[in-house]
Amino acid sequence: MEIRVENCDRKHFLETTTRNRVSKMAGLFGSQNIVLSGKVFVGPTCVIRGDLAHVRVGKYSMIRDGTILRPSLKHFNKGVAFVPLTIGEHCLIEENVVVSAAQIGSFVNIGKNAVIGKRAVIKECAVILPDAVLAPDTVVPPFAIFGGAPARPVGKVPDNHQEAITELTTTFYQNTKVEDFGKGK
Amino acid sequence: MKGKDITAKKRFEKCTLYDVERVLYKNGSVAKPLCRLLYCRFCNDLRYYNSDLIQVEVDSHYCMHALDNVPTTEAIMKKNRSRSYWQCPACPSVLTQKQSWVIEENPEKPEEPFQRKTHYMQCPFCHWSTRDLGIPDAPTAGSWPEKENLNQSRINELYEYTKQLSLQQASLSKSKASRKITKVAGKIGGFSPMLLNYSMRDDGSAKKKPIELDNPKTRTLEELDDLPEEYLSEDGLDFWKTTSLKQRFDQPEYQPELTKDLYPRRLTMGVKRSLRCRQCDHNLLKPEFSPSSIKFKMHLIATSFIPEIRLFKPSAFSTDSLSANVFLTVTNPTHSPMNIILLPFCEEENEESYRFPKITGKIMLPADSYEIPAKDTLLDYSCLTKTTENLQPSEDGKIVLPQPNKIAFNCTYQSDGVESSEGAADKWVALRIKHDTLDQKQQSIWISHVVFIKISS
Repeated sequence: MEIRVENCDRKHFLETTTRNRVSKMAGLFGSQNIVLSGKVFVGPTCVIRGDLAHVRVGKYSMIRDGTILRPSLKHFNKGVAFVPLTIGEHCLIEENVVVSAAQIGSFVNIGKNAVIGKRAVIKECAVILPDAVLAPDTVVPPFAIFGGAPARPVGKVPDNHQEAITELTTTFYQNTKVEDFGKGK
Repeated sequence: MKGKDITAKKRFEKCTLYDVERVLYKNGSVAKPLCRLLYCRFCNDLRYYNSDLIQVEVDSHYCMHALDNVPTTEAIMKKNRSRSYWQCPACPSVLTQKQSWVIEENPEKPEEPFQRKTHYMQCPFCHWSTRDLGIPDAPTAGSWPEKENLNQSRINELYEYTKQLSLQQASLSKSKASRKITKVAGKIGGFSPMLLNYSMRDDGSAKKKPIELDNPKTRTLEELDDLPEEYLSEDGLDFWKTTSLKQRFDQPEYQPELTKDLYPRRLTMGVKRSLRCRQCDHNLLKPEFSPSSIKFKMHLIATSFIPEIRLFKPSAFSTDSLSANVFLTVTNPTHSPMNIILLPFCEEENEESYRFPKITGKIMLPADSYEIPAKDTLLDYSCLTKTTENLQPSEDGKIVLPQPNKIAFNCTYQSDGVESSEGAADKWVALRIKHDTLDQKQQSIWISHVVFIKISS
């Protein structure tokens, strides 16, 4: 089916000079440590914890409503340190996801209500199914589908995933044009 | 991939991206989404991954946690298991190495004991650890003993017997074609191709020393023991101490019944595979060697060659009416203009018709042929309009969308009125799409595909 259309209200969003569209209801803590690379969508009630460590989000990444991006910490002999969180380009993170990963590659799709464990590494073109719970320190290889609690490999992503999710994220961003805000509901 | 879950896989097809299970392309005896099909541009036909016309070749093995390449010979020797990573026996997570310090007595200076670093493994999800099992801590990380399999000698015996059978078969078939197949089968099946070639030159040597198998130590059903009484008593069975079926199937060689017998197993390796058309022997899919790379050397996926039909939105059905509007879009994925014709589908009754969705009605299609402009990669994706009210069809029934390589049709669905009660919710139609494409000699040819579309929500 064709890509669904999102109705966004202009008065609830801000657009930065690099065309990032951030909801006014999103909580961005430690904004000096948050880098949105451009054309990033941050939905309402999202929380980005830049006060813990650096958070970097690549181009055309869509962070949907209620998602929490929280850099994880690692224990060492002499104390603890927070691991920076890096999200690649053209990622689609659906609603109410908790992300404590260390790295999320490009073209990754994370389903609703998923929990990404501490210091997890999700490689490019991987898919995390809705309601999945990814254990800490898990590595998800490219083109793998992980699902369940705890998440385990359940299949292989179609080989055209990169083109499909690129079209999806780009069209999603275009559908929330600033000119079009307010024409929806 | 290990631990395939059919429901989870179905869930992926339904939840993501474009709901790809709505539009199925017929390929031989199966109907699959276009993203799951390949296109052989040398045979000008679609190919499905698991069909007989596709030959799967294993390119390389890699550790799914460390993402490093492992030579094929070593992977076979290690039985496709990782060298350094272990899996939790209670859940599918990868065990992490933990350090701890043990204080030991110093025989020379009893007043100054020294500390020694030890390692143990712990599951980050369920917190199962090797200490729970009583495995002593290791002085160095990764030096964990593997549990001995009591049936290993029997497995080796069967392996040798099967290998000998394959050698006999190979020596009997002398034709060039059969040799080629055996080589590939050896590569996939784990036997060394060099050994197979050698054996083919050694005529009949395998026949001289036949291995005789002992009778298997199996029992007939009548000899099975009764269920122990502790299972039947009220508080005789503690489920916390008993393993689940999934845990037992994860370790088929041991099949532990009690949780105290669970032993960690090495992580399964992943493979990079390439796909080849059996008819023309050309590569259809060949990934790059690196396990973390997402690039392909050869990538003939069907969505790059075949026009993709999508449903713009699910059709609205009232309770009484037998007709509805169906709004379809057709996308040209190629970099050259494409002519398409939509034709009605004539249902053929055959043995394999049960594999396809049951068609519940007919769809009235435009009779003309249409040219769809080429895909422009430099053009940014334009937005689809928010409502379909603005999209008015032209005189020929075609609707022009903002995306240049996409056209839409507003068609009418007419129900047959004989829908079964169980499949009443799903309304399927079928059509045949005919389009032109360029063959290997750069000449235009027409090919057609049967497409099944689920139009109900």
